[in-house]
Amino acid sequence: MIKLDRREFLGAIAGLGGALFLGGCGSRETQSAELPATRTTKYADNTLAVASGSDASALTRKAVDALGGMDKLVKSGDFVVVKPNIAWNQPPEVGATTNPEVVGEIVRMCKECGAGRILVIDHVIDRPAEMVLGLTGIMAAGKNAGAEVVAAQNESDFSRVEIAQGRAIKSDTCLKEILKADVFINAPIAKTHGATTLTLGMKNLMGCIWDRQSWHRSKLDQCIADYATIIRPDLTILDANRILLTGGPKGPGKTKAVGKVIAGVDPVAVDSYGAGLFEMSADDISHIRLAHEMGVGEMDLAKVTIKNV
Amino acid sequence: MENLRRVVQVVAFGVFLYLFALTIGRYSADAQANILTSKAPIDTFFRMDPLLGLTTMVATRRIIMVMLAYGLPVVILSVLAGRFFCGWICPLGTTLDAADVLFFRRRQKTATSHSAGLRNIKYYLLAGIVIAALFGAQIAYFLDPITIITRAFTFSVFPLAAAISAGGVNIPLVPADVQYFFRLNFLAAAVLIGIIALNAISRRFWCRNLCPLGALLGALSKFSIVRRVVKSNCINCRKCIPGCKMGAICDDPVQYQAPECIYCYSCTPICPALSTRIAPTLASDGYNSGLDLSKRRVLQASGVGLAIAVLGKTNVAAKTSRTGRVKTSSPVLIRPPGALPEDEFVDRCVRCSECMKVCPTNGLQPALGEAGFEGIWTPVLVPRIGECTRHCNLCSQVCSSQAIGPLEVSEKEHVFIGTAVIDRSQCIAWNSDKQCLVCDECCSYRAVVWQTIDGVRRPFVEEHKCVGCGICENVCPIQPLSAIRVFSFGDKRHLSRQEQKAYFEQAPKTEQ
Repeated sequence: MIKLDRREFLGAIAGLGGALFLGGCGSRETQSAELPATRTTKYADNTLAVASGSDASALTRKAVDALGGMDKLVKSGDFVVVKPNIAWNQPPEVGATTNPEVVGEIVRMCKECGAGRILVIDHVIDRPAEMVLGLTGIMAAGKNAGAEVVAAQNESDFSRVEIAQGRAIKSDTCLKEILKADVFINAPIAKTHGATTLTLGMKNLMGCIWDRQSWHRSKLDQCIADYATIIRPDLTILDANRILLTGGPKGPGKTKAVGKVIAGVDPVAVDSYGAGLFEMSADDISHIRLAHEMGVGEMDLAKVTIKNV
Repeated sequence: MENLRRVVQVVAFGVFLYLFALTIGRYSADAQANILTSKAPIDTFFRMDPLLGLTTMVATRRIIMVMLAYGLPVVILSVLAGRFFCGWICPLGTTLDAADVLFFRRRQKTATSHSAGLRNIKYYLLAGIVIAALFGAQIAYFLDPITIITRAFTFSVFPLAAAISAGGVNIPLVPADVQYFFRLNFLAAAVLIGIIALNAISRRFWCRNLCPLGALLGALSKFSIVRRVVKSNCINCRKCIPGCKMGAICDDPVQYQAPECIYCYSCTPICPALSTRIAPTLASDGYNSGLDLSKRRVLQASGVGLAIAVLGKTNVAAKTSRTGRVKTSSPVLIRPPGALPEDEFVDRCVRCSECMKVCPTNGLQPALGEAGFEGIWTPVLVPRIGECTRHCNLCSQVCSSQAIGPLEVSEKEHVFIGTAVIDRSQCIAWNSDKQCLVCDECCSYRAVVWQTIDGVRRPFVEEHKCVGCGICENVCPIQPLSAIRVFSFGDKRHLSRQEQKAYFEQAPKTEQ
């Protein structure tokens, strides 16, 4: 039996409390290291690669190769984060989530370039997250290709970022892993959306923030454009193998087999091209137009080189 | 034998905990839905519990096969071997024995605690419960030991385990991705802690005096053929009297009260003359099987049971709407899909809380007042906490009394548990022209649609498609009350599945 007098006991409690307090102070993270937007681009800024065909994984590879190849972007040992759209509990056929073949091929290409850790991550909306990852096929595709697949679920997975140019929001949150990554690849799917008409690349970045609802309460299109000024993916690979024409973003609805994968560095150009697939003009999609106006990228496709492969 | 009994107790408790832990769903790629991690019936203890089986079947006037199949063997064994269940199997009994070793070692062993007055309370409680069941009210859940311990574990221990798991210390079979919270968790824990605390008065105070399941098994043991027999070489040292956990041995140590004996074999090793044994026999020396109950008290207890049954049925919660179908008392009384019509549901539900434990969104919560007194602790969907997620039917998979009937995931699109209503005065797409439509976005059944009115897309609910899953209420950005809320008026439990399907098929075909 340990004999402990009152003084010792109180001392021990004080010591423990102090240690916990100091530990707590240390764990509070404030500002991120480097925003993806500040990195120099590895591919020609004004070029889009558009691959057409029927095999989703082959198209993904063709599009990236047309742009200059994944080895230009991913160096040995790099930490790569891939952000597909896996918000919903829907099987891939519905077209509400990024085609798992596209995600798998992206991971394989990164692996071939010697990437270190590869993480496939999204802030999923439907629950349970495990089911979302399973039903969308992303868990299987990502794991088989050699990536970790994670559904961010807790506020602690996000840290705060400042948005200097923001018009509707001056700061927001971003997945910590994206801020830590050497390479950040956005892998959205093209589909319709109730609130924003379409959801393509920049809208997919809404899955990087913790409190989505705040954007709906604010000005949604402006928030998307504001966020695009700071979170700029190193590469956007838009899955348009099968696009959702009605019932978006969650579906089910009418889908159309378009058989395209679009790769590009300029998020506005990618989205502008994506709008065309729905026979819409980028000018009609407010968040694309606003991002263009804020200088995030070029929505006039006449000024963009399009490599069709 | 005493050691064997201890081993069996530990094993049975282990099985109970293991089954409890297994009461959790995981996504299955083959089923493309959530399925239980275990193929074994995780509700085994509930099925075995004859008190729950009896009262549920009596209250609902239906034979429930799973309860009969597991409960009947326990009944037969109890007729032959008395309250062996209490001494060897019951997880609450084991908890009390463990608590004795851990917390109450220094307590004086009260030799004279076989006071019939206290002891008879459990029979009166049983009488009240059975009478209430006869009059159609299932109230056994309140005092049944298996439900008490399971509820305490679900509402209080499980959320703690989930928090530890989420904190990085991964506990097997505990989800790390959903933090569970339950209403009434204090009450559930307090009941269990209170029962443990009663051990300070005497060992197994609960089992001796209060447990209605013990009373039922004791009453069954009248013709038990396994008996305690004291040989004539008894030296009358009286060591067995305080040694008995149940205080079942009389002043004359040869005599014992058979309905109180739980066959723990504590009295055999402490007998210095080795004259005590417990064995199959028909010898009736010292065997007192009679229950010395006061008729007056039995009548009083029956009166209380009757009163509870009648009061439950005349509570405002039982008042129906003008159509005679839907209860008017609580517009937010949303039951899990597959639940039986309300009257039968409250009588069948044994309040084991397993449906709430498996609910992957934590949306199933114990009812507070929504369903009236009769419905306390029954599951109710609270969409602001969690929605009834699309590809899941776990609650119907775990329900031992089938108060939540079998339900295929594919049926969920036409099993209506409620209907969402948009409050346009709160909705920001209606009152301030915001680009919101989160409800339309998240709806799993495409029941929320938009129309462009005055240049802005505004949400509408299509009642034929809205099953009331509550995901819209969960995700709505308006605080604290959602601008789209699910109410129970769309509940169609009173209709057959075919009728509900026909209703669903009338849904207008819209595309957008």
